Amino acid sequence: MKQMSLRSMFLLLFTIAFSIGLFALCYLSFTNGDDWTSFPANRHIYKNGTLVSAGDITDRDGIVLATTEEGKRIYNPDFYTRISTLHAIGDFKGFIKTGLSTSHWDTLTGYNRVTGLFSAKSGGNNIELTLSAKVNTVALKALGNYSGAVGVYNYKTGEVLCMVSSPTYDPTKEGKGDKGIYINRFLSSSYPPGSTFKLVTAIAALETLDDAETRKYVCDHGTTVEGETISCMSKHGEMTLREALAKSCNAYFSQLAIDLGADTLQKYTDNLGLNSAAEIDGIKAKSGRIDLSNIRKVDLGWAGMGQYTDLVNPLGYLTVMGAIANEGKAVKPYLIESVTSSNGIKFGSSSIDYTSQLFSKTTANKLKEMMRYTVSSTYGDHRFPGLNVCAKTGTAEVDEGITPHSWFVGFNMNDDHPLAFVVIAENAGAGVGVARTVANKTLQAAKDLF
Amino acid sequence: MFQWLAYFYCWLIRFIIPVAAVTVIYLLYKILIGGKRENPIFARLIDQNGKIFPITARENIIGRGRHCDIVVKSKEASTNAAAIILENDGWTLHPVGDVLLNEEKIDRPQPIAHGDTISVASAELTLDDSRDPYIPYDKNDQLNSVRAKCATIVLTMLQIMVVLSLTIHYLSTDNFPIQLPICFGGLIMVEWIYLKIMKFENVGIELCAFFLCTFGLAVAASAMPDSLYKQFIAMMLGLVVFVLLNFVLKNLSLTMKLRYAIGVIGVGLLFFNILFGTELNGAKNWIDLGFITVQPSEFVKIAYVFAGCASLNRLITTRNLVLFTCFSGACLLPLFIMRDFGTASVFFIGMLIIVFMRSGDLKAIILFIGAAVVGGVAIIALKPYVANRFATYLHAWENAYTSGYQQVNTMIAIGSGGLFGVGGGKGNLDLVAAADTDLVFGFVVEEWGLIIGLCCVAVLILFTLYAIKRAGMTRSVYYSIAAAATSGMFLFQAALNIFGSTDLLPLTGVTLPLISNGGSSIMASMGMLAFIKAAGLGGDVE
Repeated sequence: MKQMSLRSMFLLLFTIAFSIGLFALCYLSFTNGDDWTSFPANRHIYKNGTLVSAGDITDRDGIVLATTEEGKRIYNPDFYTRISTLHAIGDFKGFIKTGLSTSHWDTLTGYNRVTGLFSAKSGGNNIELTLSAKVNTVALKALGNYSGAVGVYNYKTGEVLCMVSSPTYDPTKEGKGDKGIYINRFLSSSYPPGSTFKLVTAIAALETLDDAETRKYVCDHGTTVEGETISCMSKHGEMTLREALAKSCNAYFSQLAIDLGADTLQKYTDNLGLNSAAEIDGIKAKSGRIDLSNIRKVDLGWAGMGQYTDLVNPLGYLTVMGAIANEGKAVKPYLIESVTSSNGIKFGSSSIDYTSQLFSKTTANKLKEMMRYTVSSTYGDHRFPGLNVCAKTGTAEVDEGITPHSWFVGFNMNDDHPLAFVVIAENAGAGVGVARTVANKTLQAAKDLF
Repeated sequence: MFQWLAYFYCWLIRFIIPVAAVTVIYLLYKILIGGKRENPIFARLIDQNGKIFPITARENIIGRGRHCDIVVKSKEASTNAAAIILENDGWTLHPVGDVLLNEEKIDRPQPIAHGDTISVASAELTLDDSRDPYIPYDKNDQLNSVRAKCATIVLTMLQIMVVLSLTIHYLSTDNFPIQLPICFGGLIMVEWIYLKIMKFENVGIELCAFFLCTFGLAVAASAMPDSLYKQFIAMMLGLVVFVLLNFVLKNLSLTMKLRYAIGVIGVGLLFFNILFGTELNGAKNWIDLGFITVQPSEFVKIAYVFAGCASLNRLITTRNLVLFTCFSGACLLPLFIMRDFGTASVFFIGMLIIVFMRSGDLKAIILFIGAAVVGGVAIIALKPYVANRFATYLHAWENAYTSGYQQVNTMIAIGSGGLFGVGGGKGNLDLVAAADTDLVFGFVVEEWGLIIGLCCVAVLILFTLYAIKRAGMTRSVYYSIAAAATSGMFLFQAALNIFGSTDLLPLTGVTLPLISNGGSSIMASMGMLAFIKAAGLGGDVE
């Protein structure tokens, strides 16, 4: 009989092997359970591939942007509200990857690994956004036919009041599949920054050069570097950083960038987070790309004023604006104000979250003053009634023969309306044109929220 | 008001049901695995120096080998010198190697009596057949029947909660199946009557069966309420098979006599199946009896174990496995012809366990596995369409809407259920083919949660642990082998079912014992449990 005891160890090996398999399955169901559950064939929450069992999404004023009625997912009845908030709330088939209906399906359906989809049956959870449908509508209308993105946030609290991407579409109609309609340009695009990048070069200079403010360079319709010309729109002559920023002098900033050196400039772009993917409520944005390695001197000159191969992401840029406005330390932007279960229990509330000190308070305040000067001396305060705007335009050259992108970035220096903004209008020409107009219209609407 | 109460109830019992289930499993573990129950001493062998070797089993080997029950420490002794076996009419000495009985060489089994001397090399062992007083009811047994009573009460509560959960679901659909309370009521009643009759003594295996049946019925009630009666009747018939088989197994000599007949019937049934079988879901392993279709291969599992295991005297006298190998081949061949590869592999695992338990020969195991691999490759080379069946393996998500549909939906179900499930009847897996059979693990997890799913699997693990624990203490090696083979086959079947439906193994379409919907499977699985229960038979007097 003892023999049997020994031989039964064969069965024990078997049992152990089985248990290992079982453990593997449990581990997989824990790590991949959310992917399994969110697969569109899941009839608990999808119907014909459309997310149906999910809570409401409302804007900051309680306007319902998406809800479920009688087993059907529906959007806000107002056309502009629908299309201007579409990229934020997402479509229900999951084409817009960064939309909350896709990225936060678990919050909306009430899914979690422990209780599964039990609460999806009773309606999931409601999400209240920081966005304002009103401001979004204004921004989208202001963009008109231009493709692009508008982002506005409260740099004191982090609430994103406006996030618009164009082109957009009406989700209640079958999409025509226009190019790029599913991309939220504010999160998932990167653009050449053009002259707005002069702010970054300025930050690097103010941080590293003792004479940054007094240092002078000469502009003679541009400058010549190693036999190649970097052109400038006018002959600015000898000028300081303050004047050069206000006049957006290419010659000044290209020479400054070359004197700073590729390493220093690279270090500051990295520090500002422009080379990494920003995140908003767990949604990953596209990373910008500023790569100054093995760069020729003349290209460094171009890079220092936002051309060369520089690419920035609007969300990442908005955070930098927040940092300048907020003494070198930005409040991280967020979209979700709160999450409430279907029976009214509030369980997810946002709180203020800061980035690290991206640059010194002195640098921030000096730059703030220069940006203020730029607006008052060059763009004109009358164009921003009731606001105290610090900003920089950008005209980003794309390809030869194609109209450049139009940028307007900055913030309102006013504690009552602490708004930072980024506007990009693709192929819209000079930044002082379209982007500035869009920014003003959006800011005027956002100001009314306070 | 009713709706609110119903919601609250469903919300609450989601957490209570797993607690109850875990409690039952814990008690079953204590009953089956916990505690040390030693066999009484039947007799003693006393050597010339007065050293006493207690005999605590009915079948014992004397020899030099370390595996022997009575180890003779002498280089001259044979590894296996002799077997000393208690049969109905007393002790018998079976010569294997060099052994003398009362100084005389023997070549055939000889009955021995009190005072006889067995000489193995220099050791002279005298038999003292005075047995220790038999204690029919020791402290652990007493504790176990209390545990069994507790487990039954908790199980009944669990069953009532399950019925209420399903009832609430069906009341909200205005399509309440009257079968639901009838079948669960029937199960609870039969369970109490049976356990009362057994006085709650040694009923661990039956309690395990009732636990699994509960979720078997729950699955049937949710997936196909119309099949509830059939399922319930199959369970009851299975219980009858279990009791009958148990009765036969208690009598070892009767069992030995029936072995050949049952083996022949089993093989015959499979060949009959080939000739007159009907094809259902890709495998021709069904027989249509007009009013009902049965799956003979399920019942042949019982015959296979019944005929394939052997008692000690046969093991040591006829050491070769030729007959058994032929018998296994005769069972496997028809299954291959019917293209029921899942069941074939379950038989194959049963064969490996029986071969190893009978011979202890690892080389034989390697040989068999090698042969299986060669055979598998040959089949795929000759009939490439067989390989297509396994083409989806590890690629379920890429074929989510075609060949991987079942696996993907099972994983969706597991994810959706979480730890506590979405509630009885509220799952969606029933819309997928074979959800209540091949994909039943996902079905249980979706509606009742991963904890319940794991509890069901834990029961099957308890079976193997029980078989291992009892292996050295059974009345005959026959029971040790049979319990090991049965529990191993169950576990392997569970592995194919659970891991197959989640794409960790190829999907072969075997049932999860006692939970999958299907009359033949339930009945045969209940019957198979008799082999595991028989391992609990000690050396006690009949």
